[in-house]
Amino acid sequence: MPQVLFNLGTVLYAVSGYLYLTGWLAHRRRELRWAVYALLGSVVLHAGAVASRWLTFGFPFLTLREVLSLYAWLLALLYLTIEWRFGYTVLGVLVVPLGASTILVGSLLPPAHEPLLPLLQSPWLMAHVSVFFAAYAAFTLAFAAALAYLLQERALRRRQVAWRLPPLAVMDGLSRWSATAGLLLMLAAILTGSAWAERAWGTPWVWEPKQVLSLLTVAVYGLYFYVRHFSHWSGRRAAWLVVVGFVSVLVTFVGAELLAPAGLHSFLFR
Amino acid sequence: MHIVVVGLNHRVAPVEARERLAFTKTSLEEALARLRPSDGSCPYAPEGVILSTCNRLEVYVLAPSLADGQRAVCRFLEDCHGEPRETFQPYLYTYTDEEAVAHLFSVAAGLDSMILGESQILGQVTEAMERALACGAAGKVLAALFRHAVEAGKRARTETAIGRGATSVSHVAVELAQKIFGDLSACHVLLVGAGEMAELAARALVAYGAGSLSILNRTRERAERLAAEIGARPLGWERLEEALWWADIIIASTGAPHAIFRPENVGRALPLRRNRPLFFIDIAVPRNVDPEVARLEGVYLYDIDDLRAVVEASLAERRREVPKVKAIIAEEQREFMAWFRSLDVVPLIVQLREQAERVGQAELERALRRLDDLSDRERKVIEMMAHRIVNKILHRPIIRLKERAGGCDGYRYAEVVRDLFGLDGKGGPA
Repeated sequence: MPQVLFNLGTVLYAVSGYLYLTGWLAHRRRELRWAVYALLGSVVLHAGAVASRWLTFGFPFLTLREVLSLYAWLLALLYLTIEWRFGYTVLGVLVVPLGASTILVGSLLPPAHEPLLPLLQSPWLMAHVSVFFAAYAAFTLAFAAALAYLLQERALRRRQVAWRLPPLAVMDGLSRWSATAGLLLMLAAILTGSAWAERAWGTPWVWEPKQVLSLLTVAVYGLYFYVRHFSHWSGRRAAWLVVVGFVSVLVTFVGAELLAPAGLHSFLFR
Repeated sequence: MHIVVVGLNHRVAPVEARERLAFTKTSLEEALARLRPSDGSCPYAPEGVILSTCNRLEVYVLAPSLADGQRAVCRFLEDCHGEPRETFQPYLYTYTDEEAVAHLFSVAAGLDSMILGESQILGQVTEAMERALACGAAGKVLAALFRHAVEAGKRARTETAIGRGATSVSHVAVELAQKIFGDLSACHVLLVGAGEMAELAARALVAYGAGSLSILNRTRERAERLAAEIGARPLGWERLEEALWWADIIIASTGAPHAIFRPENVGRALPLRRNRPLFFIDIAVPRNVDPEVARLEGVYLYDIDDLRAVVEASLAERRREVPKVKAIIAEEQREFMAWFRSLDVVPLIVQLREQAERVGQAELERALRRLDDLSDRERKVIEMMAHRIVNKILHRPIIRLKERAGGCDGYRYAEVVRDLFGLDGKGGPA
C-alpha cells in the first residue's frame, strides 16, 4: 500500500513538473493551475506513503532513495507555500521538474531497507537527517529565486522585456529569506548530528569529508548573510553568491559520496 | 435572409467622414428607436445593431439581399444624420453572411483596431449588443451573432498573445517598473521637468498604484501648478541631489541641453540608497541622463528610443499572433453559420415538400394495391390527383413562407412551420 501511494505521488509530481514547463512556455494559465493541484496531490500522497512506512518499519529516511524523496517532498511543500504566498509560478518551472527528477533518479536505486543498528536508532538521527534535507530544499529555492533574479536583471539590462519573469525585488527578497532559513536549518542539522555522534561514538566531530564540506557551505551562506545585512551588496552580486552557495551544496552532497563512498554519511552503504 | 454589415472605419474613411456618421449616447438611443419603432413595425430591417466607436461606425442588419441591406442602411443613415448619402457612401464597405460574420469577429478580437489587439473594442461590441437588445432593435439572430463575436474576442485574448505586451510608452514604463519593483505601492516616483509624455507616464504609474509622486521643476510655480493638477508633491530644484536618495522611479523630461543625472551624482547617492534599485525613464531629447549611469549597479535606464522599441516589439509580437486569432475566428464563424443556415426557409421548404410527397406517395401506393384491375388511364388519373392535392395544399403556405421570411420576424414563421409539421430543427446556437 505505501508503495502504491508513493508511486502515484511520484507520477503526479512528474505530471506537475511537465505542466509547469509547458504551461509557462506556452503561457496557458489553466495548465499552471492544474500543475499546482497535481503537486498538492503528490505532496499528500507522499505524506501518506511515508507515514504508513514509518508506522511499520520505523524512521523511513535512511537509504539514498529515501532521502532523495524526502528532499523532493520538502521542496514541493516549500514551493507550494511560496506560490501560495507570492503567486509567481515561474519558480515552479525550475523547482518542480528538479524535484520530480530527483524522485525519479531515487526510484531507480534499489529499495533495500534493513533495520538500523540499535546503536544508531535515535531521535537525534531522525532530526539530523530531516533538518538537513529541509536546509537543502531551502537552498534550492534560494538558488531558483537567485537564478530568476539574474535572468530578469540581464533581460532588463539588454532591454529584452518580453521575458515573462518575476520582479527583481520579489526574487531578491525570496532568495534572501530562503537562504537565511536554509542557513539556520543547516546549523541546527549540524548541531543535532553532533549530538547524535556524541551519543553513538563518544565524539561530536570526526573531520569526515561531508562534515568539512558542510562547513564550506555554511561559510558561503554565512558570508551571504553578512553582506546582505551589514554591507549592502547589490542584488546581482548577492544573487551570484547564492548560486555559489548552491554549487557548494551539490559538492557537499555528491562530493562526499565520491570522496568517502563508505563513510559515516554515505547513503549507499546499506 | 442575410446578415449584412455596412460601415466605415479608420482605415477607409478620414476623420471628417467618421464624425459625420458617429452617434453620441443620446443620438444612438434615437437611432435605435428609429430602426425599431415602438409600434412594432420595421421600416428599415427586421433586426439591427449599431456599433459606433471613435474609429468606426457599423450597422448590422438582417436583409433579404445584400443590395437591399445596403440600401436600407444608407437610407437609415441619411434619415438619422440628415446628410445626403453622397457624402459618406464612397467610404462605406459592405459584407454579407460569412464575410460579415468574420468581419465582426475580427473587430471583436481587435484585429481591425488601430492598435492591434486592443481590448476596449470588446466592451464596445458588448455594449452595442446590449443597447440594441434593450430597445428591441436586435432580435434572436443578431443577438446570437454578437454573443458569438464576444466569445470569439474573449477566446482570442485568452488563447493567444494578441492582447499581450504594452503598446504605449507610458504602459511600457509601468510594465518595466513592475518588473523591477513588483508591487509599486512602496515606490516613490519623481517627475523631473514636465513634458507631456512624462506626465502621462507619471499618471500611469500612479494609476497602477505607485506610492507617491513628486514633481521637481526649475520654475517652482510650474511644478506647483502641475502638482495641484495631478495630486503630487511639488519640489524646488535645490532638492535634486537629495531626491536621488529616496526616489525609486525618476522620469526625466527637462529641456536641459546637458545631462542632469551623471555617474558622479547618481553614484554618490547609491550607498545611501542601500542598493535599492533605481529606475530612470529618460524621455527628454537631448537626454537628461548620461548613458554611463546605466553601468552603475542596480540602476536601470531606459530612454525614449528604448521605450519605443519595446512598444514596437510588442506590436510585432501581436502581429505574429494574427494567424492563430484568425483560426479561432474561422472556427467560431463556422459554428455560427451552421446555426444561421438552419434558420433559412429554403431548406425548410424542401423538407416540407419532401415530407408531404412522401405521405402522398405512400397513400397512393396503398390505394393502388387495393384496386387491382385498373386501366393505365385510370391509374394515371389517380396518381395525378394525389400529386395535385399535395401541391395545392402546400402552395399557399410555401408562397407565404417565402414572403414572410424577408419581413419582420421572418425566422419565427420558419420556426412555427417546423414545429407544426414536425420537421427537425438543427438545434439552437451554442
